Amino acid sequence: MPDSIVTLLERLDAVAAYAGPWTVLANEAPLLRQRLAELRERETRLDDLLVVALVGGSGVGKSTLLNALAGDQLAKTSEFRPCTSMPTVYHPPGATLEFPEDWRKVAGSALEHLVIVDTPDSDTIVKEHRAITIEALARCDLILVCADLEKYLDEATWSLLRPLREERAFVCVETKASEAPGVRDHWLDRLEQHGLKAGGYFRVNSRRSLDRKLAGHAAGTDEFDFASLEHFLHRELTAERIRRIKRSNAAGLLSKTMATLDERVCARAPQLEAARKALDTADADMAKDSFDIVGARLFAEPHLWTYALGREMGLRSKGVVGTLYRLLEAGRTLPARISSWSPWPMRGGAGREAATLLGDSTLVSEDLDLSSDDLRSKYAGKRSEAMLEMARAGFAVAANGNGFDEFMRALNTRIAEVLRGPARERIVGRARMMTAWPVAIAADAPPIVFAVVSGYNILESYFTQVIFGAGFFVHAGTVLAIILGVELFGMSAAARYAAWSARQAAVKDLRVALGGNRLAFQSERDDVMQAEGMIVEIRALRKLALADE
Amino acid sequence: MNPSVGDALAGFESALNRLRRVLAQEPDLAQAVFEDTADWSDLLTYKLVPHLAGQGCLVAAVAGGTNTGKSTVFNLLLGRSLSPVVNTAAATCHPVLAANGRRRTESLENKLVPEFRPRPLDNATDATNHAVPADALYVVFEASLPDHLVVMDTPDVDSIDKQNWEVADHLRAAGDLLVAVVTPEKYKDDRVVGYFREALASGRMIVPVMNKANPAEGFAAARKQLDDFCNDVGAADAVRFVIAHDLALANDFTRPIAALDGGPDLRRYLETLDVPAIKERVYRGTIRHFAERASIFMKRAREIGAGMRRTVDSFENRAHSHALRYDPAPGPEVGNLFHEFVQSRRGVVRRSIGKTSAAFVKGTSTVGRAVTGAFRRRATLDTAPRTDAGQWQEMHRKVIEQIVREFAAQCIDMARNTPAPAGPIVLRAFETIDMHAAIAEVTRETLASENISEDFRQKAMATLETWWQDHRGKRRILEGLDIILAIMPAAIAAPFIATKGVGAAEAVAALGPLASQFVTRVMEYQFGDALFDFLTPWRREQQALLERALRERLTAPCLAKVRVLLEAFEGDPMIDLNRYLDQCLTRS
Repeated sequence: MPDSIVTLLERLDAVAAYAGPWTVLANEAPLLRQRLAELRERETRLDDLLVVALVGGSGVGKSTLLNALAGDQLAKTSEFRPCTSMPTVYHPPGATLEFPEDWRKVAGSALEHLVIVDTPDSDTIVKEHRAITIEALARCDLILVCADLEKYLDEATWSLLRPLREERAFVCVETKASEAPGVRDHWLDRLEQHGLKAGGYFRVNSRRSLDRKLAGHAAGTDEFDFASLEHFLHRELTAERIRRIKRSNAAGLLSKTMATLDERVCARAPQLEAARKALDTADADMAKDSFDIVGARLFAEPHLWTYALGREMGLRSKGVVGTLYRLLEAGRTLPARISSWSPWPMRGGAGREAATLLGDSTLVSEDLDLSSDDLRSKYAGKRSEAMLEMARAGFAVAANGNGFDEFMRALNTRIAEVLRGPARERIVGRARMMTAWPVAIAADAPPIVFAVVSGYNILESYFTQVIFGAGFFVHAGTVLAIILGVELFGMSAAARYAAWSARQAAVKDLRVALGGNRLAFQSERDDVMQAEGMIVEIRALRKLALADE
Repeated sequence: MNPSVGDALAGFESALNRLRRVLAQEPDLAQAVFEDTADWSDLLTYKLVPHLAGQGCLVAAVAGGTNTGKSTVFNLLLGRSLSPVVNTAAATCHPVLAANGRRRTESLENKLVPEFRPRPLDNATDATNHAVPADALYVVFEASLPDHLVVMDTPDVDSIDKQNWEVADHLRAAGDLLVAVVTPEKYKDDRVVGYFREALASGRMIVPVMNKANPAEGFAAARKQLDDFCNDVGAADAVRFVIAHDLALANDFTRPIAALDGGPDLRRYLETLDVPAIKERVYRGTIRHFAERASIFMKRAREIGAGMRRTVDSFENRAHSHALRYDPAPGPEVGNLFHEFVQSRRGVVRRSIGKTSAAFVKGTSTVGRAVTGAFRRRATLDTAPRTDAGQWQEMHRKVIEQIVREFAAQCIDMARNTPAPAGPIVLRAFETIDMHAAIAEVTRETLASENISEDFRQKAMATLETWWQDHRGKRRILEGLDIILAIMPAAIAAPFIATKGVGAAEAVAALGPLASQFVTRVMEYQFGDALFDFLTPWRREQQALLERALRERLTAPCLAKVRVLLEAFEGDPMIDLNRYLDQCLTRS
């Protein structure tokens, strides 16, 4: 078996294994699997043996032909119909055969590379015979269609050949030839009309040929075409030719299989395309809607962002002013913290989820539940649009669940990623910047310098015997308080600005994160993509099969 | 023959043709329904109906497999070459009828074999010309035939040219007696045996002729083969004839066809048959066979019809259950409706006090709204005003669209899982219908009124009116509460205004609505059980509207074809068929 066929079959296996919700392909899969099994079975026994089946109506002389070919009374013949009820397999000695046990097997030395199967009839009232013949046809590589003047146009035999068109090579054998004119042209014409192409035509009178053989006449002097039939079977069917016949049979079956698949499955491509477009639109709409709905909650309370930034700054604050700011922040966020200490969960504080995520807490994302009825109904609406297109493209409509929970999980994950990732980094980065040593030194410098200068003045005046009045201390204290106040206000204003800008950036980030496709309807999209992938694969394989042929 | 049976049969045939015409638009379905009906509906056309016209002439048809020598037997019967004998198979594709003067005229006038177009055989090879239309019947004059015998040559019954089968089937129905031409090769063939078995079952007489027989040992082999054939067909007592295999005599048509057991030859045998007796038997057999097969047909047709009815019903039920998913809410201000109603019952005094109160609340609430608004904006980025009627309508539109789409998707799924014949028809309709237009139509029809809140308001007011009349006790409580409601804002505002105190506006803004809300809740509680009632009828009405729209716009167009077919199955063609069949059975 050449590698190209092996890979082709393996890839077809993957197509045949499809068990998804796309009924168009799922309905084809069993037939495809059956065809593949047959192909594989044929490929594994691409040895040098050629199985030739003698097929035809009752009484045309199949058994007689076998006897004539063997030159011996191998199979029983009779004038009463039907005569043969079990196939006779005439095979070279020592050949390994895979035929049912109850088929009669005769070894003969005249054959080197041929296994000839004499089948029961195709047309009498004994219906089992036809079934056995069909079985024999499935196992053969070359069909010798036997018929005489009476039976060469019988529907019973033709109906066996038609489904095997392109799958099996066959040659015509007109039996019972006599002095009366033959029907070669008529028969071949009709075959051609039905799209069947015979690989040869032989006109024989098996009974007379057998008699001559038994009487010891030399081979090759026979009347009609019997000699050329023997020549065809013994000489022309070289190992090379046998391989070619088998290969062409397999290729015919393969190309037929591919053509059916292509015709039945790939025709649905435009509808699939429509379904995928509908999914994309629904997904994009859903991303926008969920940003509007969820964003409205997440960014509802800007002050929480300031709290979060303040908290980070508090953790890193340095210097005197920093410490003071930390105290100020602690006082300002007291109400929020009190509510978080309460033993009852205080849900509904709109931006709390965001604040919790922004904070360095260990709260996991499962706790983040942003689903709402509004979101749920929007999701169901959008999904129904896509599902309608999918149903029209041939997908089974899932009875249970609409995937809203998965969607919410995906949404929550994305939000959590944004808030914990870039948003939090920005908050921390800003906090770091605002509590950096240079900033702290710069902020501390004025009050410290003022305090040092004032202290130096006090000391100096003390040693020069001048005691400052209380007014001086009040003055110095006021100036120091003003300096600190201005600095704290500035710092607070800067923190507010930083929090505001971080929030704006987070809004943008979230919009980008949700706007990127593949948020909703993931499993539906997977189904459609898989189906589309199958179509692409089938088309590619068909091309490959054609090229191989 | 009984003429009333004739009427019944004619009625049956015309009803059958009507059914056939209706089903012709669905070839698959027609095939499922009319499968295996060819033989007995042929009987109806070719034998029963014309037979009742009463002709005393035996129609003997020579039939058999391809290339068995039917034309040879035909020629041998007539003693001369009339039908061309060709060595290739399936040659004769048009029947040839031989008759003497009177019968020839009759057959040319289309009395003997209806439905065929008779024409004289001018050129001997016409019967093998495939270019001639399939319904041609060639008639030749044969003076030697007696008045009561007509002989026909027929096409084969088993070759790949299936149109020949059809012609042979028609002729089997038209004949009274079949000369079964078999050969040592074909006497066991399924198609051949089946053809004659069917003929026997429908009352035809069979005369087997073994052509190309082996004459050795006094036709011993042929005897056994013919016995086999007769047993398989079921005509064990038929008189058998043989023609020896002799190539030399192939073109000699003057030989007699000898009986196997030494009786008169075939031609003589046919001439001496008791025609009325055979005709009678054929007629009885035909009627019996016809009735038997027609009953089976009717049963199957009824089953198919019932299956289609089930399909239609299941789609209709689904429309119903999907419509029930629509749970319309009349709008955000339902609670106020009730309030409004009670207020509309106010007397002059209460109304004027109420108006003053409302003016206080209204005049001051701008401040109140500004204050609460500021808080609210802090809590949400969604600064859009509360849903108004238009938005409410829009929400409903979306909900309905979703229901319709889900319904359509499930219908497609259901159609896909519905077995043939109804399933594929419905599925095709669902796949080709303009779904978006249908959805838009359903939505438009369901939301027919401009403003469903307004629509609901009128209906609710009517319900409330009835309730008001029926519940005197509760009415009093409500009226009492309403007095409080009317007076309260004014009563709260008055002291502040009187003392010209600061914050009068804010106090009324905060307290007035709060108090009103409280009293309103108390009132609604009093009214609670009725609240549900006045929603229900409206809700049902909306659901019915949706269901009707779903049926009209989606299921009806998609089931249209099935319905037409169903009408045929449940309507007069089927009823007529039943009636006429009963008449046939009782009268014959």
